[in-house]
Amino acid sequence: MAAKARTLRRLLGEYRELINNETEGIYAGPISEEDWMVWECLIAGPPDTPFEGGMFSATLTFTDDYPLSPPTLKFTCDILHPNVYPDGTVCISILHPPGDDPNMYEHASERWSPIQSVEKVLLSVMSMLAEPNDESGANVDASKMFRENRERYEKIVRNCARKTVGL
Amino acid sequence: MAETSASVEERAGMKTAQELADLEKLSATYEPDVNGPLVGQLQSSKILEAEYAGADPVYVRKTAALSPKYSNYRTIRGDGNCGWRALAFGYFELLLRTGDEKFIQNEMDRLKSLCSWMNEVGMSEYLYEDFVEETIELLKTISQSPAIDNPYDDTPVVEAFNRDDASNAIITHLKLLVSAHLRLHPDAYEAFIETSIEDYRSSQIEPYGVQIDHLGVKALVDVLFIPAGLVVEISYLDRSESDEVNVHKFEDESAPPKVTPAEDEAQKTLRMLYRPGHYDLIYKNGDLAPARIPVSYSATAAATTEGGVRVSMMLGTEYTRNPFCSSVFSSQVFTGGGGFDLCEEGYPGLLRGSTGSGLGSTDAMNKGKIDDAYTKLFKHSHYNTSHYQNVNFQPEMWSPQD
Repeated sequence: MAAKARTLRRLLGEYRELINNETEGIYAGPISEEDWMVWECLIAGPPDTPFEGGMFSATLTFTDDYPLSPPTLKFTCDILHPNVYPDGTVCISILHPPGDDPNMYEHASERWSPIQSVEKVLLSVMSMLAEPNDESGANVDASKMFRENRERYEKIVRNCARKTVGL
Repeated sequence: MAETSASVEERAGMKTAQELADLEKLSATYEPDVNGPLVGQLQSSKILEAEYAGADPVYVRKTAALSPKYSNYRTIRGDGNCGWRALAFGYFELLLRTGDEKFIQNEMDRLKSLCSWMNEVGMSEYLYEDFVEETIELLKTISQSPAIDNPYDDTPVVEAFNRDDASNAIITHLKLLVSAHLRLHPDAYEAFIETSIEDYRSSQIEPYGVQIDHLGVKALVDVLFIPAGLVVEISYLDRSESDEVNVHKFEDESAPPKVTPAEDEAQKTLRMLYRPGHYDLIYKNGDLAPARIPVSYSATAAATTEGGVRVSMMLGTEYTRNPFCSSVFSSQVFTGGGGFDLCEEGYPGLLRGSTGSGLGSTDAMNKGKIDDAYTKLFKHSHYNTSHYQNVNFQPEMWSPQD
């Protein structure tokens, strides 16, 4: 229980920080006051990408081990991206525990450690949207399409983005 | 008949192969206990000798040479954090052992002020404050606990380090401190790594569960131990050709040669035992309560009821297969009333009934003779590893006439 109290205190601190120092394009908070271990997030599609204009919703799920272990992030809207599994789960190195790094070659500062935060995760996801890593195997079809048929990929992505804002 | 002898031979051959495989396994792949306590209780280093009794001769030689010099041994859970945990635990243990409230207070102030390093490299206070708080809490606890007047009573530190949250928060704090230190003093470390400091600290230092490497130990010693006047040494137990463990001492290289008396240094030295991939702690003779009068068995037995719970942690499952119960008893000379209810844990009913006769005398313990410490009843049971029914039976140790 003690470990959980620490996790809750940390999450409360992060939430307070996100509200007080709002970062553009990122919104996150617990779904309900009852359960601090599941958060709802909105990530704005980065400008000058096919994701622009979309507001992509996702859930962040924390474990009792947080922040020793990273949370998991899963998109709850339709999205096509090489680093997002078809079920919406995001696969980037900041979300993987050490030793389980899917893309060892990714930028060093993006690994998970207890000094990372929800804000850092969401910012990493934002840059992942802008710059897919097509060598990741999370969504092979998307990777292939991104490499071989960029036009079609971008069209589908733009559709997804429009759908997220109800167009 | 020919067939029978062939099959006998085959069986013998298989057995030898099996034995060789066991030997190989003991020597090459020491697996630290991943389910044991995060930080174990103090036990006799004879346990190490027993552990390697049937292993590669290099290990037999080294562990046999170890126990007369290093009386005690403490396990650290092999969960990928053992090096960090061993160093963190050892730091608090050494501080407590000073028995110097003022000194601990100074360390507390120093560690609080070092938060400025973390700020300097851009770590947000709201993300690290919880970890720092746990370190400060434990420093407060030990400086205020009754143990401060009985510095060899490690209870407050052992208890704190066996609470997951406290233990992990403290090592996380130290990791962040080391990370900040590396970034602020790259010149001192850069030459030793292949990647950049940035990459090294984010992949090797900061993440939880990543084993500490030599440079990490060096950096942590530089941050935590040397400024406090504490020394860290590592004894390497490996297959290198020598008769004893190789010892490496981390000292303040910039300081003039010390004139401190040896006893004083022993009181301020943390000793780690390194086996490839794993750190535990060892204690040299004289590190722990050098002038303590040996506690007689009966006195310790009286303490057993209160301390019995702690022992289940101390012995773990490993110990139930160990014949050197005498070694545990002699370790009690140092831990005093720590309690060691073997009867509860590993040898149900076997020792309890005979403690009066077999273990009553302090003399017998001081002689350290194995035979004196275990009883006939125990000796002839399968708990004894030199008994042929024991799972770890070693034929060369079996002498049924005894």
